[in-house]
Amino acid sequence: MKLLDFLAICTFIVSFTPLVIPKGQSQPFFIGIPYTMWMGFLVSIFFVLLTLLVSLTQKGEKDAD
Amino acid sequence: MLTNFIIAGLVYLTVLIFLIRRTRLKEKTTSSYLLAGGNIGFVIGLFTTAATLFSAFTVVGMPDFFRTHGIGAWIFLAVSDAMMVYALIRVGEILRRKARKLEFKGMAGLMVTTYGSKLAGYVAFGGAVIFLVPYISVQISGISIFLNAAFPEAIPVWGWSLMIVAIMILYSETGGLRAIMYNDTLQGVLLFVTLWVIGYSCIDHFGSISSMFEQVRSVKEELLSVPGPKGLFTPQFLIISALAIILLPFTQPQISTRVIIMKSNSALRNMAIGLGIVAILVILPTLFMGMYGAVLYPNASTQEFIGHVLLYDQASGIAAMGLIGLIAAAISTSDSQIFALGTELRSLLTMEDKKALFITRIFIAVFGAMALIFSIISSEHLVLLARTSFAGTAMMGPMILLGMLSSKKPSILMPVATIFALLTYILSIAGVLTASIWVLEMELFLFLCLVATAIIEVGIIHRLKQADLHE
Repeated sequence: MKLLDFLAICTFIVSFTPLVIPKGQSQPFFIGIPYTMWMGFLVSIFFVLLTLLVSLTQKGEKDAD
Repeated sequence: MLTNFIIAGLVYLTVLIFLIRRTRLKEKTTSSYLLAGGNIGFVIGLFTTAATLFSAFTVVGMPDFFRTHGIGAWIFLAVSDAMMVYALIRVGEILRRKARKLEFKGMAGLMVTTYGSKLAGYVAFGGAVIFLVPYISVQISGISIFLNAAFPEAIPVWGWSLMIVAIMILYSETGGLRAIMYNDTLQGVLLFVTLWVIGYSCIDHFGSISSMFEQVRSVKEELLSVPGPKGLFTPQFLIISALAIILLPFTQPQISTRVIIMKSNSALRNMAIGLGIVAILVILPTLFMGMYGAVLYPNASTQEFIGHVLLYDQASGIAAMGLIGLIAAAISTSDSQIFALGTELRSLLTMEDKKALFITRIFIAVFGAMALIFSIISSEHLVLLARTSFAGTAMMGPMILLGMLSSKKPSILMPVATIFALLTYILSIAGVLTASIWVLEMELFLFLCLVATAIIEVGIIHRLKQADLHE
């Protein structure tokens, strides 16, 4: 779980750096999609995947309800 | 088109009435009326949360944001929403444990218990009222102005607003939160289908996604990168927006209530994953609509552009569906917000349940009336006001999270600091105080101050208290 949190925090930070949002730069295009758009899409998918992994990790633990 | 709209509207109202009858409560208690019995399954939980989260600002504001400011709008909302579902799954279970242990009636009441001070509850309730009522109003007014423009001969703007508020209050008063949730499910499905039908027609216009971006590039290349043509999407703007959205499940009572009343942690986990997928799928067609507008209507006003993309450029059947989807989007968020304000008030009342519920129901109608009055006099920009609302409620985030996560009762330092932060933020929005301090925008500066206060509370005050106990 700590690894997942670490990955989430790192991705959060990276999302607001030129690695994902380079200023005024739309290149390189990937299958016709500008850079920030497909990087943003990947980040969104990555967070949903992290959520899925947390869910799978927590599933083993007993529910508190 | 008016005939198609009337037919679609009648079908929509018939299903609403059917759901009102199905969910009607004879015996109303806080648990059954305000908390839907605390037993919500994954599917209803997913759709009601999604419909509550994606409001008129998604249908109207996001396409316009993409059209005006470019693809940075994806980072602004879709990336932030995906981050939010991670926070939801990580902190949601802790919130549920604490809420169930302390007999949750509302977030304000929970703060009173966790802080051992009514001040914390008043701050949570006051912050919700101040930042949610204008947001509800601007949604209602936005949709009413749009409907009036579509059918200028029908009824005036205030007539549409009155009709929307009346529908919301009617089913909220009759069936409580359960009625809202079932209606949200209907409206969520409607919103989803509408967005995709219209989004697909926009892609169809270009032939493919790559051709769409190619044409946008030829019109205005700045739309394909950040900060966009008007320089809005700076890293700071995006960070503040992300923080505000990540904290939504804990700072906006209509969402935190839904997290708590899910029937099990397993249902919550499935809901969080589903919400992440739905967020991406809901925002994607608004990108297509925005890029369509950037090429075809680059200089049109928001209303003209939305009129074209939702109505005039569509077949009349789809246009009628677009209008109903728009109304559904506004209603499904506003009803939950108005009702959540009632729930928050109830959680602060310590009298007998029946009397407290009676007062709460009166105030739900009062909050509805307040939203109606504000909607008639307001004319703010939808997305930016939504963001202000998110940022305003996010100021309560550190206080709420500290109350939830702390094993001991914190001091009143956080509620007091939160009051100062909220006041400073309001004065900054009003232009009385500066909008930025040094290189930091006011929201980020205040948020960092509140985080620092929380660290002082945990690191120093807690330790001092423990040292006192040992002596």
